[in-house]
Amino acid sequence: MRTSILALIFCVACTGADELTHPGDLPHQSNAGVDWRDQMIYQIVVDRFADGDPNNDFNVQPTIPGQYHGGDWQGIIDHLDYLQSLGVTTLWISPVVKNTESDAGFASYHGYWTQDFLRPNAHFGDVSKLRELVDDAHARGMLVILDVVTNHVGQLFYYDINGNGQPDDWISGGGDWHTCTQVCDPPATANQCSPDEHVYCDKGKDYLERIIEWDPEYDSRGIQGWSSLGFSGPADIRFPDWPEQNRTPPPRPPSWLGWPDSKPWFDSPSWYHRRGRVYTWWHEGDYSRDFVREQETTGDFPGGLKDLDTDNPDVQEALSRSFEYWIEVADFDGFRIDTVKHIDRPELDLDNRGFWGVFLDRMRKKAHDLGKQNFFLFGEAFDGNDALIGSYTFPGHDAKGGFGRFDSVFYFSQYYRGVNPVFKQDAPTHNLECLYNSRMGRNTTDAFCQNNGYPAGPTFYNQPVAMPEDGGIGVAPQQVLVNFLDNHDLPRFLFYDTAGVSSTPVTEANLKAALFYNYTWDGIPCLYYGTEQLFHGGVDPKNREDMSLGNPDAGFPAWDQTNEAFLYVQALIKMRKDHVALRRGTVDIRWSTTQAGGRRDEGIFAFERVAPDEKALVVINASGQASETCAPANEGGTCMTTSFPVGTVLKDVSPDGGGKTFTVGAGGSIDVSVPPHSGRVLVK
Amino acid sequence: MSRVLAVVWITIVFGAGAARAQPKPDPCSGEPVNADSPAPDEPEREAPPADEAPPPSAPPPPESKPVDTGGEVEHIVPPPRVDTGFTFGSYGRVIVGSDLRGGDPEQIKVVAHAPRIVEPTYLELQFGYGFFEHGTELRTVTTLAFDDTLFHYTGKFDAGPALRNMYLEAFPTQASELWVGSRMYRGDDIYLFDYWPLDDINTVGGGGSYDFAQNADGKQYVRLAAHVGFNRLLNDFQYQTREVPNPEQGASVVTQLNRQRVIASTTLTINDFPDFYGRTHGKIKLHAEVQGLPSGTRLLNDMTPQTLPADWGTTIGAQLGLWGFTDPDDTTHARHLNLFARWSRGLSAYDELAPPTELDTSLKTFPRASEIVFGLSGAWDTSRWNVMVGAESRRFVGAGPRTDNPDNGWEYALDVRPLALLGHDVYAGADLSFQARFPRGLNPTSQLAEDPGVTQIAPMLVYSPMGAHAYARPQLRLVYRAAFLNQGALDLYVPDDPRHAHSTVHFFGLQAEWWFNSSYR
Repeated sequence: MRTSILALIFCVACTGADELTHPGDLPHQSNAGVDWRDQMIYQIVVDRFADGDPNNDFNVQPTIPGQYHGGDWQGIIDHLDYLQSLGVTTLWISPVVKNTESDAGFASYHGYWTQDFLRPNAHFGDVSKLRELVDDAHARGMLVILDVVTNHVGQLFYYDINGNGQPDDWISGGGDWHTCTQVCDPPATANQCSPDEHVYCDKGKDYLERIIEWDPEYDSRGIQGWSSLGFSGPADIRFPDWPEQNRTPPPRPPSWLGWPDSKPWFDSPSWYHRRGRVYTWWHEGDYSRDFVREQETTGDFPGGLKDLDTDNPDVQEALSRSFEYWIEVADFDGFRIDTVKHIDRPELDLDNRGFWGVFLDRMRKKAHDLGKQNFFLFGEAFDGNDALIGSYTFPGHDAKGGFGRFDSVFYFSQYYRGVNPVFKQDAPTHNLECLYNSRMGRNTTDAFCQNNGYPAGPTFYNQPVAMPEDGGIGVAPQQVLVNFLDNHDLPRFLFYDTAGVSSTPVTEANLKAALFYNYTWDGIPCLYYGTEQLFHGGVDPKNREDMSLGNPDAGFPAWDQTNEAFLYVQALIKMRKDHVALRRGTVDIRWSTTQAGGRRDEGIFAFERVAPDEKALVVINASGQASETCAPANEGGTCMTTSFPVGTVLKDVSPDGGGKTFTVGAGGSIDVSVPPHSGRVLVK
Repeated sequence: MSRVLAVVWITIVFGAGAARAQPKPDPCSGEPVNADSPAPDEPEREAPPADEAPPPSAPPPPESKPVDTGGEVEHIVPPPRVDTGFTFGSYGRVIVGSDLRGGDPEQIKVVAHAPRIVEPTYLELQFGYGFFEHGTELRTVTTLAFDDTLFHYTGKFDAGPALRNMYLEAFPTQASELWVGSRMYRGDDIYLFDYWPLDDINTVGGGGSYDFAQNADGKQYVRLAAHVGFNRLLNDFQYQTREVPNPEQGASVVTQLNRQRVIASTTLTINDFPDFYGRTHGKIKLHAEVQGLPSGTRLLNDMTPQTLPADWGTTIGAQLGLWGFTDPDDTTHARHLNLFARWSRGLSAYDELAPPTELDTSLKTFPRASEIVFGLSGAWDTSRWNVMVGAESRRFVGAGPRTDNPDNGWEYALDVRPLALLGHDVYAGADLSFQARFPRGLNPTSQLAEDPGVTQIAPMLVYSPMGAHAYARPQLRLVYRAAFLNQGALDLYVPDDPRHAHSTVHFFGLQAEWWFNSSYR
């Protein structure tokens, strides 16, 4: 009897020990039928969104922009209702991997300082919580994109230039300064340096004297050891052992990765280029393209973020396996990949497979093997050069066969040449048309475009990189560029810098016009978190405000869904969802301006979006005056023509349109008046 | 002899009409001892210090039975409840040996309360002074505890002392008690786990008890006990200071956060209810506890104020204790069985001497955190052998929003220690145990769903001059322990921890353990 009682007590307990299913063993969402042109991306810096779990709030200093603030994956889960209410269909979350805790007094709250590619950043949660976030988003019909960094790791080692075994913050010489003065300058050895290096030395002399061993300036020979007596060969690479800051050599991979013990790992100096910090950011006109390419692709990212040798097959394999793991364990639907131009330069040779020709197809194959389709891969090439960033979308072919690259890129050239000039600085809207024509390969005769440096194109690939059944998205890069107004690396659209580049006040009206463009133009609209709450911070880290604090300057409480900006974005997203032409339609530009100033059509940019079952005419006025789609009288007064038949009555379905109607005149002409900083979407 | 005189004196003072009971024998001399020895029918009051003590569940010596003098219970003067004069007691254990890899002994645990076959050296020194004043018995109790910092081992001329008990107790009547001070306040333990599964409260406070329906010998009663105590731990969950400008000059240190935790408990014990067939004694104990923390505001590193809201904790639990299991006249055996069940929520699901390991999104623990414990302890002996057993199952859910927290889940432990007499007070036996956890989250190191488990086999030779009782102390032991860790247990060590590589962990060495007159009540 007593035995039975005891057994009962303990059996009751035993039944509670359910089996725990590993996230990687859970089913994966197939995404069959997903069309990425239908998506509305919302970019989240996890640390700045919401603190859903106070238990991971270590090293949190919420009032200091450069420190952790406590946001986590639970915080996003807690506010999926908000995002769903806004209309978001895709979340892009900042990197999830374990980071070095700090670097030069700044914390790794952003997630871009990888210390371990295979473990989660404990500030945000664990892999189960990450999977829960993705699963909860999926349950609401949302997709989730992960931000991925493959170019570099955090500040994990230093160059012991003077050989004293400690990371000196100041040494005399080192970097390229000693190369310049010791090699390039002396006449006897000057011929050992290329013309680019002579320019480099000449430009760098003013400030290359101060070199820190964490982040020395670029040296094409590799960072050299040096003392007042001369060179001592390649500087020793030393990984500090500072566990409290996660500044230790990356740990060997767990056994489940199947990585051979005999092979190096990320703790091997041989896996890094070891050439020091990229220097030639803004001097492309001074150097040969090869020299710039070499610096940007082999130099450390500023901040001492050590550049991986991504041409090394072992490095390629390790990175591929690492990020395959994240697809499997968290069921992501795509990757946004960081710093792509610092790895390969396909602009120089599309058939050079490089890292992207390996890694991206591996990700597609992994998605395919997991039963996923439409795995979206878009890259960040932080550059206004349309041809450069477009080159990452072109496939290649080498002796091993064909290979793909990115499905899309973050459309930086549009930001620099379109969004900023047109919607902030009243530049002619023809810039937008030039961008489009470059993209499509139509800039062959347009003098404005040619005179303003727009390439003939096509700057982006015009066929799908891969089909859905192969893990690809089945849509050509030309049609799925990721449009944005700002992001975590740029000042907020509303930032008004009286001392810098934004000397012209940027108003909420400017933002409304830009948003209208973002949600009616072709591609995939991406919204940086907080734009809908009128966040207006300057450059990093001030542009990474706390979502959970609301916008005190505007009087908005946290998660406010009643303010005009939120409602406007919500309405724009709904409009885009309601009209397939705005999402998937081809583009037929009908009006743009080549001149700035107080013209009748100032700021007008009009285009048709044509889908098989719907056609929409979009007319945007980026200017601060009421404009219309007709030329000034002294230029003939001709009005815009459309493809609509005469007599067609078009109704404005835009949020502020009020249902206003316009009738198409003879020859398809139409005079559409548009209030300042707004737009119209006209459909039958 | 003096103790006998004291008994006589007490008898005179309290008169022959009062309840009477025989004193129990001193385990060393066989002579009766005063009531500051563990009361045989109150196993919970024999508890050694929290976390470190010998078993309160040691069986009551049969001498504690009322004396039957031929159909009529003899009226015996009840023993005094305190010793007069100075008393000294001690609990201690020493472990010395090797892990056979050249290192220290290491306790292996994957559950909150693991088998104690290898645990650190520990010492308690207890000092008491009892006296009478206006007919009331009074006693001060002071207990110093020391950790395993031994000069001869570390070369460090230092020790890690703590002042644990420091209280004054009074017995206004035979049926009542009052006390005030710092006290380890607790009941019966599971010796093999060094764990008090029902009530183990360490506070500075006061309390009292009153015995209802006390029978003639004072051994059968219904006792209602209550206490209230406080702590204010030196961590920024309860206490934080900061410097502020002094209007005159320099800085002044002010207390920014000052949250006292209050713990109140009440216990109803029905002790020594009617025998089963004259062989078995029993008791039932019901325990309830409530904890409270007021709200407070602390400053984060960047001086951001963070409000910590008021928080609560509750516990209810029960214990069924049985002892005897032998002929009423058998004075040589000590057998018992204790069953425990306890359910806690909020603050009470955590150790009261540490901040909670998790908080909910509003920075509270109540009501989300919970702990359910089922426990068992028992011992059985004969003149030739004895066996102790301990078992525990525990379900813990942290306060945090994570449903996938690896700290959450069920855990189990089972430990059996049989010993057989070889001769001349020398016993041979083994401590055999198994412990396992079934976390509701992935192992944070391996990122795998793993169930850590450890099996330990520890054959031993024991010299026990005090006899065959399972709890007879002192003991000198020669022990070999092999602990077998599964992969889940190994993965609780971070990869750079050398222990991560050892799936078998040895111990071979000597142990000594003693207790006498320590951790009184």
